Amino acid sequence: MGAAPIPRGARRAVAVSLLPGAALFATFFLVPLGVLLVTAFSRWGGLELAWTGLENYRRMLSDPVFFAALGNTLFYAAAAVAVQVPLGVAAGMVLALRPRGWEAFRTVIFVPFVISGAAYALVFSMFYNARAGLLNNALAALGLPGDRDWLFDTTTARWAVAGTFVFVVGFVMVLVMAEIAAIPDEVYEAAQIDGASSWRQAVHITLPLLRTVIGTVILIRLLVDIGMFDVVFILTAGGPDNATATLALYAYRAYLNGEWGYANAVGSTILVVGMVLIVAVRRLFRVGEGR
Amino acid sequence: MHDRGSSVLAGFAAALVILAGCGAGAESSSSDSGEVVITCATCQQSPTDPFLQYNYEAAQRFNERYAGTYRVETLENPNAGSSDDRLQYYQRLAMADDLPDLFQLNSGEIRALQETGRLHDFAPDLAADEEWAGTFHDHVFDALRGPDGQIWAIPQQRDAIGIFYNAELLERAGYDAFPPTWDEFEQLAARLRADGVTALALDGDWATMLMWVHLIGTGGGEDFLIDGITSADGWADDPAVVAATERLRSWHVDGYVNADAFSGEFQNAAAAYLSEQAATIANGPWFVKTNLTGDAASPGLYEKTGFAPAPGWSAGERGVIVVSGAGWVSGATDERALTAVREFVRFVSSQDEVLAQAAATGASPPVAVDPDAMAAAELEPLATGLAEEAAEVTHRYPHVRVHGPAGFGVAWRNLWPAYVDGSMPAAEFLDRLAADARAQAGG
Amino acid sequence: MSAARPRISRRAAPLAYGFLTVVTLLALTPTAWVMVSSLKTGTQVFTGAGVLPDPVTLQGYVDAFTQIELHHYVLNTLLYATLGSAGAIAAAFLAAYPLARYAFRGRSTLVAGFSLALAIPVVGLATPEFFIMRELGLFDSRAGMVIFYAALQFPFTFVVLRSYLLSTPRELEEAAAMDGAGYFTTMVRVVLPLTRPALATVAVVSFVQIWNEFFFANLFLVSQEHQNVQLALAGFRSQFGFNVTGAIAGATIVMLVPIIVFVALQRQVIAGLTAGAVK
Repeated sequence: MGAAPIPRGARRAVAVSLLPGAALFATFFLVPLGVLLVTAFSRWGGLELAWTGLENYRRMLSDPVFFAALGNTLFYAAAAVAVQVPLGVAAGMVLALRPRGWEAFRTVIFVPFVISGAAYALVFSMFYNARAGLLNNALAALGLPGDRDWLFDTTTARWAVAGTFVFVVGFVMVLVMAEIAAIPDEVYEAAQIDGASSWRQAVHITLPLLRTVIGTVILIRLLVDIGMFDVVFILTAGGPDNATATLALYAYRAYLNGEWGYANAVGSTILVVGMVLIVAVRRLFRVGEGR
Repeated sequence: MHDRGSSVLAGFAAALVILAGCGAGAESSSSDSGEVVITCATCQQSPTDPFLQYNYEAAQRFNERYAGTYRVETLENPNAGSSDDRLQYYQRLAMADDLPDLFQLNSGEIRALQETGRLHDFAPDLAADEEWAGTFHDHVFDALRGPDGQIWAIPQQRDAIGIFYNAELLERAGYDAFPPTWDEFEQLAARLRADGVTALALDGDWATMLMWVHLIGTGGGEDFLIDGITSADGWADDPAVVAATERLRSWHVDGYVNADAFSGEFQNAAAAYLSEQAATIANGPWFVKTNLTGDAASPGLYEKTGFAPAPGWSAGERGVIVVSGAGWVSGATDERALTAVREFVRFVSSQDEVLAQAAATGASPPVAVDPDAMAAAELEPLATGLAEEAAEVTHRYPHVRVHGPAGFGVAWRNLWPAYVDGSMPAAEFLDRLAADARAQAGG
Repeated sequence: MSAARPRISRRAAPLAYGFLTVVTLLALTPTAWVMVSSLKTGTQVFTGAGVLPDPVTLQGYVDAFTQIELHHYVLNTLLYATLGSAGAIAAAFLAAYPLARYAFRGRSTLVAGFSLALAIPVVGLATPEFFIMRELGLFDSRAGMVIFYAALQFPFTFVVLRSYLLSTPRELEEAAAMDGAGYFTTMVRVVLPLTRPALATVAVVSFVQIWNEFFFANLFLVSQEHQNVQLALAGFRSQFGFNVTGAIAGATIVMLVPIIVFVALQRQVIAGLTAGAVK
């Protein structure tokens, strides 16, 4: 990289220019992390603080609702990895072959990605509605039973929630397209001399080179999904019988009850689960080890 | 280094930090002129919520009358209406030590909020003014009391809640009047189903709980609704509760209710009734103004709608829910502000104001009103009809959403759909409901 | 596009179009249906009859402004999104420049810290953030929200700007230094213009992210006069005073804003997301 030493006389200016960022970082990332670490081992409601050791974690491990929330969170993460990522990679690879109109497809497939969770909650509360929703009306038109309350049936609720985001593949698709564009031409030239079909080139040349970017998108998805809240909070509030509750929602309930120490113990679990998944994915896909 | 670039960039970021200092706590409780200013979190203008709109107008009248002495200032509050988030909103304010001087809550929420120790006790105020205290109907303070005789709220209304029905759909199914027993109601439901009409619109929340309460109250469970419910324990041991729970579930299984009966959104239940897909819906008199006369209702629906008490388990045993569990509470601590708060609650419980509220919202007065004045006010017949009938019916009981533990609504929404789809037996449902309702109230 | 690139073959094209159509439908159908429904009457929405509006009405859009007062939330959100993004970008640019150019003690620690913040699922920090906002007097205030969003967007903005600066040549800066320009002069007069493409990119992305933010807005904003559009969306459902067509029309507008921003500035958005991911 070859960074130069700070020129004489500019040391103070450098310090000044680092200050705003450092202040924001310290106030809203470092201090909260510190508060979290201390209070996760305490009983705390915002005022007095009583050290309780591992009590919060013991309580967490004895609460079946915590495990339901953990299980759902991992389920959503898995759904993203199993459906959203492959679909997005495939779409990106197909569009990289530049079929006519690929730019239009890229735009419309990407558009849902910029819609917020709160908006999706409203969209899907209408879409899944058992009496007047499009999904049930369409099923009924096909002669299938069209009155299932997808979000409030314990057997379908989790799947219905996953359905609100797994088809939003635009982000994965775009990253894959950028990665393919960065592959040097020479890589393909040899294959073309051999007369390999574009299908064979995609599978045997392009796909292996996407390993790192696939790892990256999985990583980013996991980070988002581990903190999943908006859609579930608004659509189902975690029900029925906690079938859709997430860790973030579980922590939020404790926070509302004034059990801040407990909320933070759950919060620390979110951070740890996130970290474990990230390390695992980085290892698996050799992200950050260069190409 | 002394160029202007530094001030542009570093200055911008620094300005943000300075801005922070100014943003906080822009609150005052008295102005320069000696006028006492109090804040109200449920007094905002609302084109869609007649209760808020009435409060807003009442606050304006109050400000006019007491100009120079007291003034109510409106805090714009998205959770002013009835919603699950309302309690959470005030709990958060209580945690931030920032409760408004005036706002409205129901009794369950009041019980949860009393734990914060930040609500004003009106008992001494009422004791000091016997004439004012004497104007209130009997029992209207029952649900608003604290453990040591405190009175946390001045009641806002005293309503009778029953069942709205579409007379035309009932007639088509062969019924001239609303059925007097639950058995007959089920026969009606079966007939309606055969015609492709939903008998009862439910939402998995408020409206569903209303029917649950009706089934309990008319089935020998009045005591449970008044006392048992607050203890949040042993609900599964009460036969009236178990029978009511199972009966309500069977209506879902038998297809008497709308398919989207679990969303927790009252609007889904309302939609089924307003579009004439469902023949009946339980709710209070305010339903007329908030829904029945709105533009989403089928044309002419208001004219064919009737309002009846809940049927009984046996003939002649009808019942209604009487709600007087909501009222004005105060988070004021400052004595000057409290003087203004006292004056305001006296003002809104005056005869003129309660009648104005009744005319605007359909809610019935919490205080005794001169019958001539009542007649002259020409109130909504659908509302007053049931209020009059309420005096005659056998059973009267409070609504669980208002009188039960504060966490009841959230717990119900979570567990009810799972119980109905067969995930757990009634006893387990009731036990967990009680436990969750207790836990979520911060216990 | 070079000739060496594999292109879709004529035989495979129908398959590709079939696949792309299915993906498009899966991704877009529910949203498109709701947007179309914003032109329906309340009665039609409630009965669920018909996919297309019949009759077509703009009443929902009228109600969204006259009854729901959407403009009020839109203004708040515009304030948060523009000032929050500007704050994040200012702080990030000021930090990214020295951390990209100079070697000094603590440099790698700062870079690692700022970048790792991007990998924290921040919702896990909800309660401490609430506590800090309360203690700083930033709870339920517009200024507080601007500062918080600036902080929330800072790590992403920093990572993108720094990696951009690392890849830009520094000859111009060296020339400026020869002319005796000071640190800030160089930064503002020379580096800032060079960084413009990256600045546009992070501006667009963080604008959209703050526009769409719900979790912390829900945590910190209790007064209606401070609320953003996402809270307004979630609040459209309550027992009293619900206006279904107004809500759907309002939601459509709230969704359309980032969509329009994206379609208009597609290149910046995609470049920004790509740059943020490949760090």
